[in-house]
Amino acid sequence: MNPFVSLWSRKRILRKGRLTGCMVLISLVTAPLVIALIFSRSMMLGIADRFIYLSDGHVQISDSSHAEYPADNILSIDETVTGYALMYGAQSTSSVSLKGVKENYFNEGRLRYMDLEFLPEDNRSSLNRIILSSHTAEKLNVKSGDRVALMVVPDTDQGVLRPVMLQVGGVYSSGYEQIDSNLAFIDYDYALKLFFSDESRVTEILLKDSSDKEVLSFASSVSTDGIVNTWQNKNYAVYSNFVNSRQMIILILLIIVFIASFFTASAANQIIEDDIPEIAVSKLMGASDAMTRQSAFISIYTVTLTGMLIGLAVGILTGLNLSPVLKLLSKSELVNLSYYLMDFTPVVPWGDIALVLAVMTLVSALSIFISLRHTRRITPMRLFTGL
Amino acid sequence: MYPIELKQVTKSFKNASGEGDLLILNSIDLCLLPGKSTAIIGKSGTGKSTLLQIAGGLDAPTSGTVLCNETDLGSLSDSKKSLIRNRNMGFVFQNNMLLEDFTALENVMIPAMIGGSSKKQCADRALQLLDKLGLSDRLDHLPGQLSGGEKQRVAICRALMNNPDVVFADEPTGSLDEENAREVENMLFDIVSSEKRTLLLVTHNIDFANRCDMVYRLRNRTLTLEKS
Repeated sequence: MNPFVSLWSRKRILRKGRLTGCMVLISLVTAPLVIALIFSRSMMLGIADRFIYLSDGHVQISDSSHAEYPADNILSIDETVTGYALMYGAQSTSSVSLKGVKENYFNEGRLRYMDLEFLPEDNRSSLNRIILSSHTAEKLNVKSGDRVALMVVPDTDQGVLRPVMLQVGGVYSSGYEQIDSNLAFIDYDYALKLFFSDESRVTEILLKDSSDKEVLSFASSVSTDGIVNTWQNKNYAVYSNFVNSRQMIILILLIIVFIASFFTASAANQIIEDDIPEIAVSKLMGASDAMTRQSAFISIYTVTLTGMLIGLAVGILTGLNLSPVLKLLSKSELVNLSYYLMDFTPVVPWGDIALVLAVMTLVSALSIFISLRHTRRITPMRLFTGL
Repeated sequence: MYPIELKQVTKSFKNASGEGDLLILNSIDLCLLPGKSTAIIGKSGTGKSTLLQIAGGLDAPTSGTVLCNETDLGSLSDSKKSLIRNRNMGFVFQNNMLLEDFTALENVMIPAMIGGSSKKQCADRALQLLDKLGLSDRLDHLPGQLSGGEKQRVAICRALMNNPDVVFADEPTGSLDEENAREVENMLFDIVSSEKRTLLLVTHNIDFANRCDMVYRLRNRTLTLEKS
C-alpha cells in the first residue's frame, strides 16, 4: 500500500468523534441483528427439540414388530402407545393426547427438555397414574395426587367411549405451551389396554446425529411392513413454519442490512464533505483521485468493519445471556408469549450470522465505493474558489 | 527546455450576471528559466494568483498553452497532471494549507509519500529540510501548535520535499508580521538557491519581488518585464 494512503487512512480512523460516532452507530445496528438471529434460531431449535424428544422422536415406526434398522446412530428406542382422551376437571375439560410410555422413557436426554416432578410413592393410590403438564393441571385445577376422570376416545371402529379414573402421578413442564397444552403420559402397559389398533403402537427412535440429512437417511434405511415417519413429516406444518420463518427472518435482516448501508453511504458522504479542504490539499501535492478514494475507503470501511465486529461481539454476548430476561418474560402473563418458547439454550447460528455479515460487508463496501465517486470533483482549485 | 512555459495564455471568467466574459489574462507569454527566480507583481485583483494557478496546472487557461518541461499540461489527464504536480512542482500559499491532523514532520513527508518513497526515505529528507529551516524541535507539533512563521516554514519544506523543478509561491509572507515575513523571505530564497530550484513568486511587495532574478508586472491583463 502506498505510504500516503496508509498514513492518511490511519489519521482519519484515529480522528476523534466523527468516525467513532459512525462506529458506534454501526455497532448499534449490528448487535440487534445478531441478537435477533440467535434468539429466533435458538427458539426454533428449542421448539423442534421439544417436539422431537417429548412428542415424536426423530423417526417413528408404526407396527415395528418386524422392523430392521441400522443401529450405529441410535440414541434411544422407545415403544409407545398413543391415543386421545377428554379430561374432566371440576370446572373445565381438556382434550389431551395420551402417550403410553415405559419407565425408562424419561431418560437424561428427555429430561433436558422438561421439568418433571413425580408424585412421591407414599401418596400413590391403587389407581393408574397420569403425568400432566403444569398447564393442563392448572387448567383443570388439579395437582399431583388428585384424581381425574378421562373419557378415552377409541382408536378402532369397534371401540366405544370409555370412562376411566386416574391419579395425577406427576407434573411436567417443557416450557412450550403448544406441547404442554395437550400432551399427557400414562403407563405403557395400561395404554395397551385402552388402545388396540396397530397404528396406535409407535416406536420412537432418537438419533445421535440429528441433522435433517441423517434423519432422512435413517428413515429411508428402515425395513418394515409398517409406516415410517420423520418428525418433520409428522409435524409438517410446524417444520415448514420453522423453515419459512427462518428464511423470512434472514430476508428481513438482509433488508435491514440494505437500509443500514444507506447510513454507511451517507456517513461516507458526510466524511468526504468534511474532508474537502484536506483532500484538495492532498491533491495539490499530487495525490491522485484513486489514492484519495482508496484512503477514504480504507478509513471508512475499517470503521464499518470494526463497528460490525463490535456489534457482533456485543450481539453474541447479549444473545448468549438472554435466558434470565426470557425467564422473566415467561413469568409475565402476556398471552402472545404462549406461542413462543422462552426457556431454551442459546445457540449461535454461525452460518446465518456469516451470511448476514457477509452481505453487510459487501453492501457497505459497495455503498461506500459509490459514495466516494464524487471525490473526483474535488480539485485543488476548491482551496481557492471555495466551490 | 523550460521548467514552465506559458504561450499565449488567456483566461476569462463568466460574469456574475452571466452576460459576457470577464477577461483576466490576455495572451500571456512567460518562460521560467531553470534555477532562476521570477516574481510577478501587480495590484490586488489584477490576476497574479490566477496566473500562478494556471502556470502550476491547477487551473486551465481559456486559451493558450502551459508547458512543463515541454509537456502540454492541457493535454494530460487528471492523474498525469497529479503526477507532474507531485514530481515537478511545489506550492507555498499565503495561508500555509497544512493538514491540521498531521504533525509538522508528517506534513513535510506527505509529497514524498504520495510519490511512493519509503517512510524512512521520506523521514530522512523531511528531517534534513526541517533542520535547515530551524524546525528540528517542532517535528511532532501539529500546525495548531506552531506560530504563523513556523507554519510557513513547514509549508516551504513541504514544497521542496520532492526536489521539484519549480516552486510556486503565492504571497508566502502575506499573513506574517514584518519580522517573521523577513525571516521566511530569507529562508525561502536561501533554500531555493541552495537547492537550485526555479521559483515563481507572486507578491505585491516590491522589495520582496526585487530579490528575484526577474520581475514582471501584471497590468491591464498583460505582463511587462520590469527587471531582468
